[in-house]
Amino acid sequence: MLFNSYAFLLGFMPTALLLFHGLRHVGLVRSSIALLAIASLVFYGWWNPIYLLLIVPLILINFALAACIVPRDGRRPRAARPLLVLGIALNLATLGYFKYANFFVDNLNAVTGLEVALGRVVLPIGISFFTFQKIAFLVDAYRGKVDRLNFVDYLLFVTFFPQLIAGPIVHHSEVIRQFRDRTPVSGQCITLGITILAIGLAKKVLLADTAAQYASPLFDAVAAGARPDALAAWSSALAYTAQLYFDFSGYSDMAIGCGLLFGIRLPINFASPYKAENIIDFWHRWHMTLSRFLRDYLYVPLGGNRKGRTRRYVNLLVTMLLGGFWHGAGWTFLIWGALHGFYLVANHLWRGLWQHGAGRESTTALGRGLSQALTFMAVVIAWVFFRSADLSTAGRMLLGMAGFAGSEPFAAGSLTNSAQAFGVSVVLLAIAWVAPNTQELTGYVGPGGVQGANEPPRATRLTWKPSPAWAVVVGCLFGTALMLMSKVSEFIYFQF
Amino acid sequence: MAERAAAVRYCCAVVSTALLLLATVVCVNLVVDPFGTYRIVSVDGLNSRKSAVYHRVRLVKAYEVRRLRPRAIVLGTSRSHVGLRPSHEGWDSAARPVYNLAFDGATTKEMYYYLLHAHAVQPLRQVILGLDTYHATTAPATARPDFDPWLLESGAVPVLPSLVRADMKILTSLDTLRSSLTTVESQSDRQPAWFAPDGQRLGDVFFHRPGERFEEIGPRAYFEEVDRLEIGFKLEGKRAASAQVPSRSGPQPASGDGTSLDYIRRIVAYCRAEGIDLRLFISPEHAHQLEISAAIGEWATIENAKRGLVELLTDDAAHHAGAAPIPLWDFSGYSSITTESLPEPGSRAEMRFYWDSSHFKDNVGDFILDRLFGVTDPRRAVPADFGVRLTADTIETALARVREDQLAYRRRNPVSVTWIRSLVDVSGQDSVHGLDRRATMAAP
Repeated sequence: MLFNSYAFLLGFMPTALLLFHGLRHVGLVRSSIALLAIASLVFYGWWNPIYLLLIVPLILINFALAACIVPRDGRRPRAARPLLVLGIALNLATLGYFKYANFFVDNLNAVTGLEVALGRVVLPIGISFFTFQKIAFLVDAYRGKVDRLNFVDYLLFVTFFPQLIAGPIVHHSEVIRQFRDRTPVSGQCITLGITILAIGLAKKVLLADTAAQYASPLFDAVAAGARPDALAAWSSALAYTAQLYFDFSGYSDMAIGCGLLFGIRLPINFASPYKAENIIDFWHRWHMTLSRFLRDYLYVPLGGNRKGRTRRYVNLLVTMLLGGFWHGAGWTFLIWGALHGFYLVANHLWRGLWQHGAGRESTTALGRGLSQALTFMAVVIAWVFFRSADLSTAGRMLLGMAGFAGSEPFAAGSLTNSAQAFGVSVVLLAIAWVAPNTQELTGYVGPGGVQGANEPPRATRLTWKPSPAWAVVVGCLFGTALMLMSKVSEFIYFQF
Repeated sequence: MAERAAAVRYCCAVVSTALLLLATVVCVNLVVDPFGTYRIVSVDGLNSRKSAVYHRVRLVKAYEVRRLRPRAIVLGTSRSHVGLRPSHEGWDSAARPVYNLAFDGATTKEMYYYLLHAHAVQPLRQVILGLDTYHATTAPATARPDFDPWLLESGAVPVLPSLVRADMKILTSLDTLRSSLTTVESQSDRQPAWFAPDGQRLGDVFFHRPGERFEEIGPRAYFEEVDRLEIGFKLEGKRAASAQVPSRSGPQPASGDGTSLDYIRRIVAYCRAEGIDLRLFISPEHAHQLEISAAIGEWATIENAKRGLVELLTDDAAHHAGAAPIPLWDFSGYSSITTESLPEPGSRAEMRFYWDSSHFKDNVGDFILDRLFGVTDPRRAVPADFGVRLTADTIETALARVREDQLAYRRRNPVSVTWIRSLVDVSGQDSVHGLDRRATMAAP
């Protein structure tokens, strides 16, 4: 069930809300949590009930393993470590089989000339996200950071439908505490929830789907062998840059909004990433819960910055490479991850240079503007790999962007279309650059009072409050978005 | 408590505003009815002329079938849409009304679901299925983006929820609102209607509209333009197929949806099971189209497609030994119709049988229906070389005959053939989209 579908917005959500708040109203708080877990399984099974045959056994096994390895009376069971390794291996093997088996077999066949046939492995939706959450839970259970095990809480932690398919990747410590909270859901949660849900839906159907109309046809044509000219290549790369941001941050907003309607605060996932002034800053603003997971469960265990500068850079590269591979089994994702790894290393080297007395990083408006532009360009170039069907497509796109197009114009009438695409993309990106983000607009804070990025939220003149005027604005946004939903399109991050 | 009450008031205001907005849009769309799907009011100057129907033919035809309840239909692509008359006298007299349910770019999957829809609305007696050779291949079955199964009845799912959903989707859509506004604005346009009530696209009206390329640049230049576009489409399709462009829209469910040919098999099986008189034909594209396919390297695909169809129908006949075999007629060879000469360069003379190399006129459509229905009309004798019935016994002879005729055509028309090959060569080397639209054929 897509968030931007009538079935979800007009059927599933109202039913789940009525039942949840009805149970709460009569004092059945724990039953309302169990109901939410069941509703989440229904939500997941809606795509394909067969997916439940994977996720439910995995949940049972992971919970059993966690129960076996969690320290008791301050002492860790003897079998804890092998069981932890077994649990991580099981989760990674499942992810590996469903997500990467075809990739490895294809490449093995290409390199060795063999004809190993695996058949078509269908990727269960959301597997990358819930695998991460289960691994994090196991590791924390081993470390003694899980205070009390409860199956219903665990089931809901893994399956909570607003974040099940494409995040935000939640940490158990953020949500399980909230599941146990018996205080009534506040009115502020509800008003904020419906507002953020409407903002997210509008981002998706008004902005992301508009950008997609300009990005997708050209990327598909280039994948089919066409060579774009500079204007066409830039316009579609920029359109995709806008599309991906509004699509994914729109989805994250909808997830947060849905969570709030059930009284659950989910972590913030985006904080105006295209306003970043360097790549380090970008990763503090883009898909923040993934960055956090990669930092805590990959970069730090690899040694982080504790083993010298060279090792730190290697760790960064490895982390980003695996982060890229996590997005998809393909060389384009690996290169995207590697590029960001190199960007981060270059950024740290540059910082190191300034810290060793060569001066300070620029704080002038011009300097900051240039840094922002440079960061943005680096991100756009990486997105070309991220979006392209294969390396040759990315190559043709980048050649086009560099001005090495064929002698023929890209398409009959393409100049007008490309100019239009360029114009629309710039307008959409201007919204991302200039407009306040959702948390700046609404004052939303995630669990633990976190508001995102490493800077305090900017003050904005356009501050939401639960007034009748804002209700009308949000209602219009919601109504318009519903009218645009007749053309349903999937969220991009569902494929990861 | 006060906070909760305020929250409830806020949520009610949000939902009421959204619903009010939707209700307003639904009312406007219902009254203007840009696609003619509800026909509640018809007011001159407001909504009596429905120009938006021309852009939403799949949707409009789904509703028209519900309204007209035909007992016989034509399924096919734009070729059948333009060329086949529901008023042809050969249709079974007990199968009236007849509706032309063909539409542009129809795939076999779409045809199958429209067949189910029409039969669910009113049991059908007769179906003419117009195929192009690319339909009978093992390419994956597809549907166009504007194909919406919720508009269609199938007899399998409850009709009401499906219809409510489909109607709500249309009525609440911002696209429909845009079409409503365009409909109101365009009431003063005196553009002639080319969409006939029986579903046919009236070629005489359509191609002669002011601003239409056929009218603008003349039949000869238009013919060449369509040839060039066709080369572009075919090359693009070929490249996409060889590149096997993966979808980036998300993980693809294991569809088990089958191939394009599988859906023809489903159509045949369904008509058999329901006792519908089904007749198939392969459409008579102009010889230029055949030469384009040959130059691109698709000749073997065409021949295999015909073999596949014959095999399918032979299997069907074997399973229904007591019943008459389902006929398949092939009009796509080099006949006196399909090899019609082009007008002189620069002339504005029209061709007798074709609008362009893809679309035949309804005089050719009449010949096709004469053959399919076994009608003999002294006013329009069907040329003897037009159409051959394909069976397991005749297929190889027929294919060999087409190859011979092809050689003869090439000998008689070296300029056309060389021009087509040079266009394919140039386009094949360069970007699909870099096709030079200015190239013209030298005078023969």
